Amino acid sequence: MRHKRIWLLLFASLLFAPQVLAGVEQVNLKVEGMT
Amino acid sequence: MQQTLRRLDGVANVKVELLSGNVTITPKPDGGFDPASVLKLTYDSGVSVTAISITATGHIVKNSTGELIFAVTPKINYPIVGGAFADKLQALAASGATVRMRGSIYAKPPGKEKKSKESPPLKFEVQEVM
Repeated sequence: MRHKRIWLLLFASLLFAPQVLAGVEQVNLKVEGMT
Repeated sequence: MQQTLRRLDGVANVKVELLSGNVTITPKPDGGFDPASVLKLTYDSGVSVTAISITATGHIVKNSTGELIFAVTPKINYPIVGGAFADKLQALAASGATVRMRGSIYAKPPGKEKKSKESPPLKFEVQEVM
């Protein structure tokens, strides 16, 4: 029973852990000649 | 311009401010958008990009010559111009931590140069480490 609870806690912590995803979030351009 | 940019792979949203010439692109979170693709596209559409800055999350690694590289995804990585952040970036490279940074990757060279279809080598000039 105790082991089951520990596994459940481990699973929950992995599921809700904040994930750091690599990637480009935003691109800002300065553009000339737009119409 | 807005529609052309929207058609690019990995673009979720494009916001264009005609008066100021500012364009904000929000990529999809799948990481498939390459900011360098904007340069080629805008060349083809006849407008001129004078500056590109990005906010991205990735790792700082050293290449074989000891140069610091901002590795965002396996396909998107830029040599870093650290400036005032050089020491901090060296420490981050050693730690292997994930880092979120804002910086400039392109600035149009001064003067009237002939447009080249080949995009110049992009470097990440750090403006903020978050």
